[in-house]
Amino acid sequence: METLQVRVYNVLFGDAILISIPDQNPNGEIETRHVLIDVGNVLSKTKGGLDDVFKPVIKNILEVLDGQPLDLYIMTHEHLDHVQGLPYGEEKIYLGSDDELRQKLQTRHAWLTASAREGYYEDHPDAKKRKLELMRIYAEIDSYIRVRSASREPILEAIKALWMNNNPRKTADCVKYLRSIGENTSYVYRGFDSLNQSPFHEAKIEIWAPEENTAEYYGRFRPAFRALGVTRLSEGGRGKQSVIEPIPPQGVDAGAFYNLVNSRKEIFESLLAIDKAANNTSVVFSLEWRGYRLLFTGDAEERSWKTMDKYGVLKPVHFLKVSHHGSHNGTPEPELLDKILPLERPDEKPRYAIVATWKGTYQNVPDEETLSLICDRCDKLYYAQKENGEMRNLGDYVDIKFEAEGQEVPS
Amino acid sequence: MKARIPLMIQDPRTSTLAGIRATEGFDPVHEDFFLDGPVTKRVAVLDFSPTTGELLKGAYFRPPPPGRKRGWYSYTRTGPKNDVYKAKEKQLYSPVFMQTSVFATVLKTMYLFEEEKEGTEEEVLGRHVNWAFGAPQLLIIPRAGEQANAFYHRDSHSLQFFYFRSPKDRRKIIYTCLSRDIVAHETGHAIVDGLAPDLLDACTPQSLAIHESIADLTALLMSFASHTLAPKVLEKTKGSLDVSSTAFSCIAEEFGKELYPEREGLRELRNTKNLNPMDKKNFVRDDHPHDLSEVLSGALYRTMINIHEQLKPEIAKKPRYAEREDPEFSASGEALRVGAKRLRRMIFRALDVLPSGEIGFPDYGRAIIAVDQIAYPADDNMRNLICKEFVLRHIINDEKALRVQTNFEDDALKDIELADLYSSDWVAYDFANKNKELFCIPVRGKPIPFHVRPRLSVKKKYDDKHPAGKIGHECIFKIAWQHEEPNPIGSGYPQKRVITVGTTLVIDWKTRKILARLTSSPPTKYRLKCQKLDSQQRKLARHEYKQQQAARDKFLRRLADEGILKIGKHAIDPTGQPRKSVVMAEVSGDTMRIRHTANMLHIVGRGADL
Repeated sequence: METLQVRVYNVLFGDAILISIPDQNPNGEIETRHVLIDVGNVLSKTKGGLDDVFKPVIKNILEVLDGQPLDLYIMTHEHLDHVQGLPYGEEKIYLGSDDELRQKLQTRHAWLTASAREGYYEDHPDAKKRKLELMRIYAEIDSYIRVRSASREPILEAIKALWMNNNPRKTADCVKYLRSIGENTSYVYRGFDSLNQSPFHEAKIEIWAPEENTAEYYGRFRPAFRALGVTRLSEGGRGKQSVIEPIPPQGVDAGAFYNLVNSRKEIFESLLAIDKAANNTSVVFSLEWRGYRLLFTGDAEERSWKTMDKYGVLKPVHFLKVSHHGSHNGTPEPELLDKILPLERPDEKPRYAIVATWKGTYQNVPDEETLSLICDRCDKLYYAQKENGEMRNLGDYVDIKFEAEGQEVPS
Repeated sequence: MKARIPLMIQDPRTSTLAGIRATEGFDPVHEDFFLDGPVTKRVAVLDFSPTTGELLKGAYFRPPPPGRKRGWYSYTRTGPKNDVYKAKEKQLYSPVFMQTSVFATVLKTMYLFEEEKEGTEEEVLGRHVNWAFGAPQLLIIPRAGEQANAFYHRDSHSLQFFYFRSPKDRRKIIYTCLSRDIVAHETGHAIVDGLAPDLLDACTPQSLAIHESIADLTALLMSFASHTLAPKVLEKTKGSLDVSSTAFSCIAEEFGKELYPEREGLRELRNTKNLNPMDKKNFVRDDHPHDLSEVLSGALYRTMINIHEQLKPEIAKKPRYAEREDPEFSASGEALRVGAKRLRRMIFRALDVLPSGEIGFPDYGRAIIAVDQIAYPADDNMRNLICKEFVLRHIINDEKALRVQTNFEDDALKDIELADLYSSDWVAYDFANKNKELFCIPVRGKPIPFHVRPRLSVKKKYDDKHPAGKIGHECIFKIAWQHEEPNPIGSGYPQKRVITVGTTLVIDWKTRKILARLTSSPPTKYRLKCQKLDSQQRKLARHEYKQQQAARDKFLRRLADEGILKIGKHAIDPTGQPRKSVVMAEVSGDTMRIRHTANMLHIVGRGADL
C-alpha cells in the first residue's frame, strides 16, 4: 500500500514542509515525487528565529531526496519566515561554493507566487501604487526603529517581529536566489496552467490563490505616510542619526501632547498592513491524490479566503496546513471554514491539520480559539514544534501519512 | 482677550475660479488667552514638519499694542494686522498661514454652535461646547501626513488634516487644512461627539450617518456665514439656493475635484437621494453611513432651500428692499441669514436633546421637531417642510412618525427641586428610579440598571413672540441603559448584542413642564403605553425599530466580512491601545458590544471618506 507523507519541520516560527508522493506514471510504475514548500523562519533571534534550525532541516531534505531531484519547490510568498532557509543554507552551510545546495537539490520545477516575478509591478500598476505607498512607509519605520535600536531603546517584540519579517531588501535577496533554484521557474496564481510545469502524472495540484492581480489584497485600511522624526545624515553620510523628540509647546497639555505624538506614529498598524498585503499573496493550493485532498495555505489571511470563496474554489479537505502560524486572521470565519473542514464530514477518511508556530513571536499568534475551532473539526491537530506538550528538537519533524485506498475525492 | 485671525474663505481652487479673495478675518470674542501656535485654552495647533516630523515653531501671536484690545496672528514677516485680507496665493501655502487659517476655521466653527458675537450666548446651544474626551483642548495637526484624508480622532483629542499630491500633476500638493469645508466638517465631528458621544460607538448605520451629515451641514453653515463668499454665491445664482455645484451645495470642492474630476466636489448637498428601493437612481443602501448621510443632508438642505424661497418674497416687501430693481434678489442675503439662523438652531439644538445610544434619522427628525416646537410654537412652517421632506425621501412612511408631544405636565415633576435634580446625581437617579414609566425604562422582569447622564442647564433664544418670553431656560436630563437583541451576523460572533438606548427629558426650568420627551427605547407594548401613542404611531414605531435592527445586522455583517470588525484582544495593539483600523467587538459570554465604529468612517478604502 502506497503512502503519501507530509513532513513538517520544526523551524520555530516559520514554514518548511516536504511532501513525498507516490505517483504512478503512464507505464504503471510508481515513482516518488517530492515537493518542498518554503523553508524559513523569522529573523528575531530570541523569538522563534534561530538560524541553527536550517542545518538539520536541509540535511534531512537531502537525505529524503537521496540523490534524486527535487521535483517541485513552491515559494508561497515573500516573507522571510518562508524564504530565508534555502539561501541561508547556500550561503552559510555550504558557504556559497559553486551553488552546492542548488546543485544537490536539482530542483526541476520552482513555483513562486505571481508577484515575485521580476517586472510584475510594471504590469500591474494598481498593485504597484499600493506597494510603493507601503514601501515608503516601511522605509521611514525602518529608519526609526534602527535609530531607536542603536540607542538601545526597547522596541516592542510584536513590532520588532513584523519589522524584521517584512524587510524588503533581505527578502528580495532570498527571492532572487529562489527564482534561480529550479530548471523551470513559474510564477503562479489561480488559473495558472500547470500542465507542462507539474511533475505529476497521477497527483493533481490546483492553485486556489492568489489572484494574478494582487492589488485587491491590500485591504481597506491605507496607512498614511508620516515623517517619524528621524534626522537625516548630513551630506557625505557623516554624523549620527537620531530621533527628534518633540516637546509640548507653551499652553499645551503635556499628557495629551505625548499621547498624540505616540498615537500618530501608527507603527504597528502600518507594519500590520504591510504584513497582511504580503501574506495575502500566498500561494494556496490543494493536492489531490487517490481520494485525499490536502490543502497548503502559506500565510493566506481573511481577504484571500474571501476571494477564494468568491471564486468558488473552496472544497472539503483531509489535511490543512493551518495558515499564518495559527493567527486569528489566517483561518477563515466558521462559515468559510465549513467549506474546507465541514462539521459533517463528507467521507470516513481521517482529517488532520498542522500548525507551525512559536508563541510570543507575533501578538496573539497562535490564537488558541482559532486552533480549537480547527481541532474540533479534525482527528488530530499537530504542532510542528511539539508533541504531547514536549518540545521537539530543532529541525526535527512530524510526519503525517495518508494511505492510498483508491477512493474518489469528495467534491 | 481678542484677536484678529485670517482664515480661508473656501479653498485655493475655488478662490481662484470664483475670482474672490482667498482670505477673510475672524475675531473670536471669548478666548481666555492667545499664545504662539496658535494656542488657546480650547484649541492648540501642532504643526509637525512633513519631512522630518519635528514640531515646527507655531505662528507668532502679536499682543495688542498699548491702549488697544485686539492682538493678531500674522503670516507675513512684517505682519501688519490687516494682512488677514491680503494673502497672496503663494502665502497660502506657508506653514504659518496654514497654522493660523486652520486655527481660525476651527474656532469659527465652534462659534457657530456657541455665539457669533459677544453677548449672544443664547443664540444656539446656550452653552460652550465640551469635548467628548473630557479635556479642555482640541489638538489640531494641519499637516498630519501624506494621504487624501482628514479625520477627528477622539482618543488622541485631535483633528488631523492630511495632504496629498494631485493625481493629475504630481508637483501640486492639496492641503486639506486649506479647505474651509473640510476643516469645518472635521470640527463638526468633534463638536457632535461632545454633544452626542454615543453616536461614534453606535452600530446603527444611521447613527454614524447623522454624524457625517451634521459635519457636512456644519461646513454648509460656515459658508453661509462668510461675508465674502455668501454674497458672491447669491450673485452668481441670482439669489437662489436651488442651484447645484455652488460653493454652498458642494462639499470639499478642491479635494473632490482632484480625486474625482467628473464631480464638482466630494459631496453634493442639493441632491434627491433617498431610501426608496424603487428609485434605482437615487436609492442609497442602508448599511453605508457616508452614502446614507447624503439622504439626511439632502433633506435638510432642501428644507433650507424651501425656507429661503418662502422668506425671500416676505423680506422683499420690507421698504429697504421693495424699492430695489429686483427686490427678491436684494432680499436673498437677508433671507439666507434668517433661514440659516433657524436651521442652525434646529439641527444643532436637536443634538443636545437626542436620546442616548443608537439613533436613526427619525429619532433625529423628532429631536429637530421638538426643539423647533419648543422655540417656535406658533410657527410650524419649517417643521412641516421637514416632515414632508422626510416622507419624500422615504426616511419615514408617514409624517405622524415625527410627531412629538411638547410642553406637557407630569405629576412626577410637581414636587421636585430642579436645582437639586440638575446638580446631584443621586437626586437625579432617585427621581428616574421612582419614575421609570416617565423615562420608558422597562419595569418587567429583572431590574434594568440605567445610567444618569450629567444634566444640562441651558438658556436659549426662542421666537420673539414666544408666550413664555424670548429666552427659555431648560434642564436637559438624559438616562441610558443597555438593551439586548439578537446578533445574526455570523457564527464567529456571539448570538446576542447589547445596544445603548435611552430617554431625554427637556424640562422647563420655570414652569416644570416637560418641554419634550424623546426616547430610543425599543417599541415594546410597555414603552408605547408609556408614550401614549395611538395605534398608527405604534405601528410606525415598530416598523422603524425593525428597519434599524435589520440595518445593524447588515452593517455589522459587512464590517465582519471586510475584516474590520475584530473581537476583544484582536482590536487592541501591543501597547494596549484600541487599533485605529478596526471596529472593536467586546464580548462577554454570548453577548457582544460594539465600540469605536467611528474608526470605519476614516479608514481610507474606497477613495476618500472624510
